[in-house]
Amino acid sequence: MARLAQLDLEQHNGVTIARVDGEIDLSNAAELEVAISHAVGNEALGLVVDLVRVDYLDSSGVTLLFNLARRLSRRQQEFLVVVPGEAHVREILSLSGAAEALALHESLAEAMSRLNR
Amino acid sequence: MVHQLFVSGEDPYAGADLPSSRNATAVLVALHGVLVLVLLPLLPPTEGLGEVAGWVLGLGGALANLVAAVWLLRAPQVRFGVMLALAYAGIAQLVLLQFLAQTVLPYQALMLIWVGAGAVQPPRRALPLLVALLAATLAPIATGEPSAESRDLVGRALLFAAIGLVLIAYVAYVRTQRVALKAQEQDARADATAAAKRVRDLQWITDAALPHVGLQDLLDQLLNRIVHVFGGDQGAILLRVDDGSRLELHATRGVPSELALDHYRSIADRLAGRLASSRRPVTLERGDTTTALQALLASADMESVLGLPLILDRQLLGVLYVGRRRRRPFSDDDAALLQLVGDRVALAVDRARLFEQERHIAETLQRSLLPEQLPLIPGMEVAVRYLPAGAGMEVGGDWFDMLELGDGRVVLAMGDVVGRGVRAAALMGKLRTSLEAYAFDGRSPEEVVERLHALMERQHRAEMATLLYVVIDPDRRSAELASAGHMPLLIRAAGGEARFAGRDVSPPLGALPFVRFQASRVDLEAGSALLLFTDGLVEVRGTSIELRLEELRRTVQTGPSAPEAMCDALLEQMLGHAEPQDDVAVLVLTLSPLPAQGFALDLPAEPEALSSVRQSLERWLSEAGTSRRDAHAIKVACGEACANAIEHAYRPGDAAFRIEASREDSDVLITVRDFGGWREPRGTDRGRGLPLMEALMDSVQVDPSSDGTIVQLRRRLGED
Repeated sequence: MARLAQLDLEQHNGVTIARVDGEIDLSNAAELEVAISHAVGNEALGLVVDLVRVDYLDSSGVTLLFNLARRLSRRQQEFLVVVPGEAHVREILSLSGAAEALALHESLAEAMSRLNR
Repeated sequence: MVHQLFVSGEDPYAGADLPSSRNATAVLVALHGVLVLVLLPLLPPTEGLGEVAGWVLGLGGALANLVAAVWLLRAPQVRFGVMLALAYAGIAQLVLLQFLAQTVLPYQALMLIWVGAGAVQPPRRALPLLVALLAATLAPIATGEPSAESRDLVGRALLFAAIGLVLIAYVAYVRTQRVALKAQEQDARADATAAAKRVRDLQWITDAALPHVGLQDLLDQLLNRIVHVFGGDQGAILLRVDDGSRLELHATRGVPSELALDHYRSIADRLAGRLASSRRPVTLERGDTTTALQALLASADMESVLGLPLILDRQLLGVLYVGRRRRRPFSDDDAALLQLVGDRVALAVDRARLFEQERHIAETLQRSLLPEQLPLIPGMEVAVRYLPAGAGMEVGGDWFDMLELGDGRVVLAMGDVVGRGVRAAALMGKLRTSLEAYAFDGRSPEEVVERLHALMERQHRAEMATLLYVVIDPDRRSAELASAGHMPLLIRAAGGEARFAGRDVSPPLGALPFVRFQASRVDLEAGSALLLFTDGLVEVRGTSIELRLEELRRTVQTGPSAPEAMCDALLEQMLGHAEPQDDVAVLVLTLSPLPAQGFALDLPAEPEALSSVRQSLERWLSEAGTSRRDAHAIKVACGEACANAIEHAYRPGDAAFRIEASREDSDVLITVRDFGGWREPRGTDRGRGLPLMEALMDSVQVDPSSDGTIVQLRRRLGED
């Protein structure tokens, strides 16, 4: 199987940006979680997970986000999620309560400015 | 020798050259005519019939002689008998002229000419002529004019006869020499012809070993030819089994059908024992053998036998023999020729055995490298055929593969490694594995082909391979393809119209150092079929490949559209029932539209199956014109139900689940069925699936039972 999703990791002013491109389901969620959390060092200010190019995400994807959020809050690091308002993925996040629990942003630029404030 | 010439029964002139006798006779006959014309005015015929009649007879005779001479020269064939008759006529003519002219001497002198004419005859025929000549010369004495000349006459006649005899003997001697020479020459020519025939026979027999045929074919062919060349009625070849303990009957020919094979084997064994110990050709006559063997030979209806051990490097490989039904002993020449044949047969058998071993290894290797099963993908129907080349041909390097890229796209690949045997099979395995890796790496078709080319350049400089790489995107209804010297892709539209794509091919992988490969894109409507094949399907010696490709295109266009039926039809049309000369690989894939009313899928209970479910649903919903929002909601809800089936409902091990999708007016119904026991979701995170399904769908129903759980989802489709 080819990868369902591609993951790009980038460090920007002490913030880790994890850009996911593709689909997130039971088959790759755990793997993505490990890859993303390993990329966030102890000294990092925070993590931005960019879901702009994710066109499918199910409950295992929601779980992945909650797990990351828990891990980062324990280390007192910021955790932001970028997902456009009109995306189908946003609906899934709202329906599963993630929209309220997590900091959702419309764009990466918006998330970065929020962090640098 | 003279005695032999005149007395012995055999004609020493048999086969002598007639034309030279004929020419000599013609000259003599003409000379006679001319001399008579000269003599007539000097010694005119005056007696008997009167002067005028005498002249007429004399001139007529002379002219007849000239005519006869011309005829002799021009006639295509003249027998000795005719020439002899001419000589008798000449003698009669002279006797008549002597009588009419009342003078003897000058005409008598002409008799010498007929002595000569006699001499060109075979001696035994010439003798009566000589007697007739003597009688004619002495005829004047008989006419009753006793005179003083009588004694002279007799003397001269005897002299003529003596001259005639000497002449005949001399000419006969010369001729005999010539005949003997000619006979020697003919013998020599016959010897040369026989030697040439033996060489030809030998060549013909061993030619059977030249084409790459299997061992059994080789033995059958060799035996057929050997039995034919040695004029036998039957024959057999026995080979020693690997451990050398016994001989096994491998080929027979002309064995009486009523004879049980076991019985025949015992004859063969007995003969074989004899041959094996002699290590040389053996000729046998039934009458001269031991009684036990006699009975066996009688039952096999064999009188004369010629047998030979097959020996290679001092090892006995087996034996072969030829038998004749009637007693006609085999000659020493036959035995010598069979010995030569045997040496070559032993080599050929040895080679064929090695070849079969190698072929077996290569075939096993190749089989193990081809996919055992192609993925089952909803909306795609696939059929493949792989026909290895006929017996005696080495295994080729044809291969194919089908891969699911996981994003709905499917890769079809077909290739052909140039070359045969174990090497080709091994390279084919390597290419296939590398292709899979590059394909899953998300490479574009031209990149995959370029990378494989680079691999060949790096590691297999001396080798070449063709490749056709096709990526089908069922959602976009298109395919991208890149080819490296491979046969084109044949696309059959839903309506039947067939066309080739990817004909602007680049050279094969590894053929040229700097090559860029280009990909092209084709659109595929629902119901299209794609056909990939290797050159073995279309290449026939002596027929243009263009014509064969066109034949293939027409066959596909007019034939059935279902993959299995299409494979059968095109193999039947293109190859008939003959064994292919080269490997043939054919892969047909059709993109069938998902039925609007619904579909069902059986999938393995693995997380990887989820993307297949989503792709099938996506395609089905978009074909039904469902809005993006509805489609997304249904995909997620169904994905949750399936994930539950995969994650919770199973004991470890082989397991599957089934999903059914259907329409009910403006409702979409999804049923996910597993065959394990439902377990309540555990932990907070794990519990997200069910609420999500409930939020996305209008109704969610979970029916757990002991033999499986059924989840039913229903959503009313809204306006977009």
